[in-house]
Amino acid sequence: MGHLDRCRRPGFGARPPLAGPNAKEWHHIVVHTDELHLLINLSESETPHGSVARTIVMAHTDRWHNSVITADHHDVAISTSRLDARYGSSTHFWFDGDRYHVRVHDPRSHDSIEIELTPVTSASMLTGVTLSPTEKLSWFFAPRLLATGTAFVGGKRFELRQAVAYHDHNWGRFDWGGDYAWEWISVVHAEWSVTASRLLNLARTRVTSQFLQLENGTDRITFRDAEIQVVSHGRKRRADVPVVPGALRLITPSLLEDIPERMHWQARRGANQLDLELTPESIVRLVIPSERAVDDVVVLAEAVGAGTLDATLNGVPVQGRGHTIVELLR
Amino acid sequence: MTAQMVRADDFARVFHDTIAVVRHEVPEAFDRFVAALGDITVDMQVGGDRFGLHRAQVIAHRRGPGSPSPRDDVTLQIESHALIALVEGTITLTEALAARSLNLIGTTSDLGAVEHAFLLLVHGAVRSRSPQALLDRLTLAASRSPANDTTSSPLPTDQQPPEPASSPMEDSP
Repeated sequence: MGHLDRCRRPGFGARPPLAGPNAKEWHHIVVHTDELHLLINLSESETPHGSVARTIVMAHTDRWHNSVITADHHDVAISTSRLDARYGSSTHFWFDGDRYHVRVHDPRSHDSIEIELTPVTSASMLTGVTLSPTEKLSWFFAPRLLATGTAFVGGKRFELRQAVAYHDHNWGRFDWGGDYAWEWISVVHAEWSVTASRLLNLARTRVTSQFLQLENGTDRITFRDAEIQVVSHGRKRRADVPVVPGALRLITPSLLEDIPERMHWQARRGANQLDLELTPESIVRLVIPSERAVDDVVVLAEAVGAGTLDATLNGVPVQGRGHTIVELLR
Repeated sequence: MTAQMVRADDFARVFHDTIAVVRHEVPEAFDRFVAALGDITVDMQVGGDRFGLHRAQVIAHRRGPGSPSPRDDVTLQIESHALIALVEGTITLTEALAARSLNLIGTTSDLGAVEHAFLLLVHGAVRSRSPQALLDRLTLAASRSPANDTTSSPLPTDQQPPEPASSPMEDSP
């Protein structure tokens, strides 16, 4: 297992390397423009057959264009002293001290991405987040970056100039298919970036923890647990939601997308209050074989859309809309 | 077993090797696949290939399209392009059936059991060491399959001569 988080950003030292059964680690990068939403996931995980490194790109233009690139572990090179990971010739991801760089080329579709991402807010880290009584996840995230570069997707070239972006890095030891579910959101408003997560048991009858943080480059406001209320309205039940990898569609239950038409996140603490209305629009399902049951899968529904923020933060009213991504693990 | 009766990359060989991979690498899925299939015999007509399946053994003796044998509990006919579209997730089973690029014959009970068994095989394959390699071989088999797929029209009604005694394909090394 590698050490993908050796970025040594100020205040965030390296962590011990992950190893052993059910170790998992991934970087998740989201870039928004009006024409293109890019989701890039770089992961390493331990399987019964050894470690697997995988690059997944889900790009939404007028439709989804998806790539899954799996690298043989012999072709994976990850620095132990800094954030620098190569997955064969298809993927290179590194941090130069100021910016992240991502290069991905899918040899099958010939889609390619070459971007650099500059953080414009400070990062946060949550360690030892409880998924289930025996499983924990750690989470480092930069809520707002600016992405510049090019993306060649579905036969079309997109130039990115200071596009708003999000990055997180996750690691832990847990099974896909364990007794947990999560809901994660990122909203990039003109001034504020909102990042939130909600952990539940698999049946979604009990909330384990809630977290919502706003960051504007100067101030950071955090809400937790009972300060947050989440209400979902309606259900999207679209049969044409793509599955990634496509080969898992045959074994993916048709209604598992289970995406609400709208989500309303409300947070209150003292004079700070927030109402966030999310409308997931375009959805893709990332499907992972369950590690608990040989005939089951885990679905990560990723939905891009709009988020409307109505808040009073540090005594100042804040309103507006921003690009949004919602991720629901079912 | 007469291995020379099976082309290197025909569907029968890919199917046989997929079962072998799942048996070795994901034994729980294999055991459940075998249990779900039970004693059912399946006549598989995939693109221009025809083979049988019984107790997780691919029976390679069958040739060309034809009517179901009396010994077959289930007949599955699928065009090669439809099989690829199914495993790549670009069409659903329902769409393949509606387009008649997939035809199924059998009792409801047997068809349900075969569907369950095949999904367990897919669960096993996607948990194997190299699912992409299996998918690549399947795609290659489709590219080499005769263009005149046989399942675009309903099952022929004329009876074929009785099949010779079947023999399972040899296991892959």
